[in-house]
Amino acid sequence: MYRYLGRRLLHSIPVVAAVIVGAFVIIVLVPGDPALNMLGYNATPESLAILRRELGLDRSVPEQFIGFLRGAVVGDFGESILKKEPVRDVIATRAVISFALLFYSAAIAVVVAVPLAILSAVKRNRWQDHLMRLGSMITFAMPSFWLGLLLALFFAIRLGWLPVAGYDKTNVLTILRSLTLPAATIGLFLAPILARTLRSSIIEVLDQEYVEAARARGYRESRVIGRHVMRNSLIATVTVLSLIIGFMISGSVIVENVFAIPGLGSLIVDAVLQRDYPVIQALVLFFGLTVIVINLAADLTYAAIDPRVRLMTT
Amino acid sequence: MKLRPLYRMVALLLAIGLVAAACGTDEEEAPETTQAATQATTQATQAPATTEAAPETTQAAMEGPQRGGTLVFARQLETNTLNPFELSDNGQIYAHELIFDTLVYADPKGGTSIIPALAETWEVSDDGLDWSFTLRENAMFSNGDPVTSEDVQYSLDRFANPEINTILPFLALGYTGTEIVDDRNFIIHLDRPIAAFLENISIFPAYIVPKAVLEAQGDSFWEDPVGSGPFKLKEWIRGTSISFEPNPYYWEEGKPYLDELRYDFIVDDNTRALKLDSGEAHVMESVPFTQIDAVGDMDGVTVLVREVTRQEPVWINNSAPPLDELAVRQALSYATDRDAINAAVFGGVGTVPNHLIPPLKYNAPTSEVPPFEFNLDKAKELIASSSVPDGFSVTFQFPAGSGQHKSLATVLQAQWAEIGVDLQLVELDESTLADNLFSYGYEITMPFLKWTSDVLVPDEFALLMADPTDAGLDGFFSAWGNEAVWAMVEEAVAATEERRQELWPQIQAAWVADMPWLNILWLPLATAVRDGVHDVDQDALGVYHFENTWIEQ
Repeated sequence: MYRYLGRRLLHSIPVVAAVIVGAFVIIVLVPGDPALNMLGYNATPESLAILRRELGLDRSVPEQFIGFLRGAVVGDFGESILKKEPVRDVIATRAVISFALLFYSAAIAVVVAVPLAILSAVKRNRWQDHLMRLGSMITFAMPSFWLGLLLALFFAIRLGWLPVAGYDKTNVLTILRSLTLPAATIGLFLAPILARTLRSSIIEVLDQEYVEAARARGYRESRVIGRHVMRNSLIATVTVLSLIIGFMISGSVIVENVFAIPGLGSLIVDAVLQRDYPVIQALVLFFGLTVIVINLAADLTYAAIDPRVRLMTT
Repeated sequence: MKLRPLYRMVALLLAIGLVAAACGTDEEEAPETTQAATQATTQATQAPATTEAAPETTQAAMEGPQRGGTLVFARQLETNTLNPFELSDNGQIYAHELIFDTLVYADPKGGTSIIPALAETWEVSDDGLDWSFTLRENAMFSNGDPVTSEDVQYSLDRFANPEINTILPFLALGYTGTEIVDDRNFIIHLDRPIAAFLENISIFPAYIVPKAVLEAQGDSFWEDPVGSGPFKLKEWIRGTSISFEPNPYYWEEGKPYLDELRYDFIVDDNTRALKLDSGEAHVMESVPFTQIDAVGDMDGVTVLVREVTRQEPVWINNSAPPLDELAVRQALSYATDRDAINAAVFGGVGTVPNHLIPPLKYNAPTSEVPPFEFNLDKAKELIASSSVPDGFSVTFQFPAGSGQHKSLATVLQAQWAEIGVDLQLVELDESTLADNLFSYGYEITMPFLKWTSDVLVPDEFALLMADPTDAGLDGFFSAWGNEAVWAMVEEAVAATEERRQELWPQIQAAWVADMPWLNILWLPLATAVRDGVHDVDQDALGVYHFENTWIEQ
């Protein structure tokens, strides 16, 4: 297992390097002078010089890259042009909210998807299965901003159960209330993908001989599904979850804006619109590394679920 | 037939969804990049208008202001700093205005008047170089300290220091210093007469701050600043909201009426509308033009459409043939059906202009300078008389991601094709557009999402856009210059009031005759307010004022 872990970490190094270079070149590729773009035409030569120095643009490109690399290692990306706070602090505060939202979304997706997938697979080609597939197609096809607004319209305006938007961090309950509609929006987008993947896996496993054997031994159906089928169906689900983490992050950009959640998604929109380059660079790096770490974690999870994975790679 | 609210909202959302899917981000969502990349300003010459009749006068309204309550304002842009020299978009300005005061300010009820704020009276010397002011006796900061001449001197010196005031340093035009006479009296000295001096010191970079507190606290002062405005900071949750409570020492006795004022930051137009509809917010800013009717149809909501000093300009590179020919530029203007554009793109809320800059004080009435005319025959005649009688092909750059600008570009493409102009649409990000403008890398362009004036008078725009000299911006990067216009501008910016009233309309007529760029429309600002909320004021600079605001209890 350790050898497998080491090998996977080694494979991650070039990817991390590519992400770092990608994050750095943003500021090099910006058309024109980033300082002038940020300050506008009425900038004085003094203020332009100060900003160029702050951004390190008065140095050569290799020097800038080394500076960026040093900053990346210690997490120092300077001060946000827009927020007037250290980029590290801005990201740290908002990352907690975004991760809470993503975790809550994933939980909703799993809670919705797993029972539906089991029901659909067990009742294959019957009306329950058709209904699940039709329903999942509808929520999957719906743009998240639209789904979010519909949920807000129903649960906030019509029923008055939840706030329309905003983030109230007074206590855990208010946080949960604030995050429920955005998490449901992302979760309902994810659930169909999970449900369909898991359904296919379960159907495949249900046809296996060892499942027949388990049934032949007289085990209850719940035990057959829970112990024998689910465990073997999970690999595909974990794969899908790890692959769609990128979609979840990009989905959160829209959803956080719709629901005014002060997470990383709304931060990157602000940063891009207002050309806050230090924040953009740091977020590109942060998101890139997050996806790498999650994919690594998924690979390790395969190995934990199925010992054949680590045996095959040694 | 009146649809039930829920179904009406679903219909609205469906329409929004389709439009958003087709067009991408609406320009109203984008932060302002303006003349001086700063604030929206409101129509100086007209009183605010509403799309519908004002709400019925209630018993409470007739009895006058009531004290108390928390007002929630659903705002589009976030407040990121309380230091007015750091950022200058409306996310910041509308918060700063609550905390700080200037010596004089634009009338909160609108119009072009500059009225007393911290300064009670003032007079100017005959040569226009010395302005003597007297501060109000009860002018105090929120910590209870009096506002003194020393604070004014300190604040205006900072305002005039381009290393501190990097935002709008040119507004300190002519300032040489402040002479303290006593605690309440001081004289501001100028090196030349500046006719727009009062307008220049009426806006945000010229706030008066307490010298002793700022010097003692340094940069940390701006985390919880002390000012002399109607409110002071209560709580600031970054990324979510900022709330204010009354300044007990505010100079206007008995005001403000609210117990608390909270700005909730909600970027999404539709979510702000839902917040208003649910009653979670009392006021919504930046109602998109295409949604004014839908938001106005909500129960208990009125949309105020206030005419503003905002314009939709199209830059023309006057050095790029055949656009260097007056006949060609005039032909493009005559071929532009502004009424059709107004209806198709801006929900009919715009106004066909009679000037190339936003509507400001001293603008000539339409009887003197008529609004830009749509006349296809005349446009064809002009093109026929030019060096390109069979038409020509030209590139048109516009901001990517703005559905409104894309629609405008598409309509112009169709309209100008009528006179043989083949408009090649080029969608670019804002940085590239600005870069191309500053380097003349364009033929025709719409480089900014919003374009507004910082002051109520035409001086700023004229100095910026009509200056043909090398020291200036070359007709604001249009490569246009007219010595006669410039000579009149130079006279007007230092002239007496009477002379200015004569000169500015003459400048307008001569400027328009040259048609160095196009002004498509003058555009308003739209604010939605729930019933029971009174006196949400907006001055002629577009800034909201809440010192008079009250809620029916």
